Amino acid sequence: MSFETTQDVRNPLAEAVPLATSSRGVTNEPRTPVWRFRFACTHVFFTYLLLIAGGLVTSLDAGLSVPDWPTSYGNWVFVQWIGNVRYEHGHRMIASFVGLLTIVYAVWLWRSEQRRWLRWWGVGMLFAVCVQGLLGGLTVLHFLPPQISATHGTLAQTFFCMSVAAAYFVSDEWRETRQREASKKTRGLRRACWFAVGAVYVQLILGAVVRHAGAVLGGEESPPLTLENFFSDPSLFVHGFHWIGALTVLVALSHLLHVATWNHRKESFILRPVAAVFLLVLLQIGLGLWTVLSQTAPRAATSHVVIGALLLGSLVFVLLRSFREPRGGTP
Amino acid sequence: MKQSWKLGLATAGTAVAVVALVVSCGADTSKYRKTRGDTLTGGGAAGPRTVDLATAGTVAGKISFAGTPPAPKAIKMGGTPECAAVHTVDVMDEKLVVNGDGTVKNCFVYVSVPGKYDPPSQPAEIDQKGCVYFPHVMGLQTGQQLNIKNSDNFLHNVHYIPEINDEQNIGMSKIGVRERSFEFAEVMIKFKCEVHPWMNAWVGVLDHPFFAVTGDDGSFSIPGVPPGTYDCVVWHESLGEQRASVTVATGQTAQADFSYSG
Repeated sequence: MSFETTQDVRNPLAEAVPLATSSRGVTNEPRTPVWRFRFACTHVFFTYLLLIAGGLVTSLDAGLSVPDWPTSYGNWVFVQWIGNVRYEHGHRMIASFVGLLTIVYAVWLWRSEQRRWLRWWGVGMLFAVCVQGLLGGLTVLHFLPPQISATHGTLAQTFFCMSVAAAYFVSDEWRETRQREASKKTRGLRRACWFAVGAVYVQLILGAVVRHAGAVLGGEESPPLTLENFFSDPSLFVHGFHWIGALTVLVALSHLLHVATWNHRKESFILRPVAAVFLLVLLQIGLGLWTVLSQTAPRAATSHVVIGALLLGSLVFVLLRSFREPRGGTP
Repeated sequence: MKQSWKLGLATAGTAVAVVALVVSCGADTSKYRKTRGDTLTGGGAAGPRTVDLATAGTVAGKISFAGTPPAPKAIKMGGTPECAAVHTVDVMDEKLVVNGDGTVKNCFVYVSVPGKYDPPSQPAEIDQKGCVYFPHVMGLQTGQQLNIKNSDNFLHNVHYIPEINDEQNIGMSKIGVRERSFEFAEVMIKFKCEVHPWMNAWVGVLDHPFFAVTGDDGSFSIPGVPPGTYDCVVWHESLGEQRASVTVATGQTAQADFSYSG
């Protein structure tokens, strides 16, 4: 399919300036095919499900319960569904499905999407999912070396963000809204969003290192948390950075909330998601404390990971929204 | 700002992944390990040796526990019906077993005799039965065959995690035996099953046969030790390591008792 637009296909943030708009500022362009948006949401859902499954695999120490790769005990699909094999093989099955969805998505975008950068975004997602699968296999075959496992965990979060962004790019909201004018307030909001996304992303990398390098506190093998140990024990040092990262994220999100309430208080378009993300941060800090206090109980640790991913995905959404003008215009 | 947005998140993750791939593919995993060699006996005579019973002595002793031992814990197998179905009574965790007489079970004891001895032709054996390793602690010699059995007619993986020898993760999906051996002395090597995460065992590998594992009476006896003065070392999974000097004389028994406190 094709449709006429005046959009600049080279710049994703300037592409949706419509030729003609209604009195409410809504474009008269043809709408995005509804099935593609639904498909994009399905992709986000299964990618998130995959994150939960991956989190469970690490939390339950199930990563090596299937020693071979790419097959599972020599089989592609059917294995004895017992013990931790359920988690590891389940993770592989969901991953394969997400890989399949991503192939379909990338081909769909490539064939039907006019925006060139979005076509390449689909290709980027396909590349990322292939690398992610390869990392998953390598980490199993190399007995879970921390550097590969942590990269696998980080790329999982990145891929989820790519999926969220792709869904927003094909949504009606993206296509029917204009780029927000670059006023002083807008620039301040974007800076706050970038800062928050960056802080959460770095924090997720630190979290992945903590998790996969065994730098968890409260476990039977972890050293006591003393000042001397903090500087001499690498695992505690990494963990200390994760705590500092949590503080930085709280500061970043507080700043974002401040900017949103101070400069955009009449824009529920911005204020609501920012408030929701701030609540997510508070929940995430609580889950982090629960993880430590419960000596890394699987439920606590996995919740901490998946809410972290939800936080980053939500922030990416807020960041993208900060580039768009609300449908009715800025109050 | 506009151009950096284009790259944004898409490149961030993939770049990190590519770097990690390069690092991991080029990584020499041996650098994470201890140096290979006879670190447990302090080196010694070249060429394999055999036990000379005519001149040998014995090292014997008992491992005791002072204090109140922790209450035994039952392993929770409820979430894995295939394992729970095998047992009619609770299976207790063997991480620390203090016998009724205050002695400690599952201590690996060895004498630091130098040199490399011929491995026995009889293979050592470790079995997976009812989702438990039997025995929980054992020893064998370098070059000696180790039969890893699966007596359960369902799936286990055998993952052993040495620091000096090669790490392996073996899938055993039904009743059967796999044969392995270790090239270098190493105390201890952890065996675990990630399918059933409570399953673990410890295997000590030595260049000589002068080792023993304490049982239900906490005692050990190591015969055939050549005369001389050595370190007698006792290792326990959760209580740690202790050592004492022993002097072995021909036809005599050198006593080496150890005590752990709770």
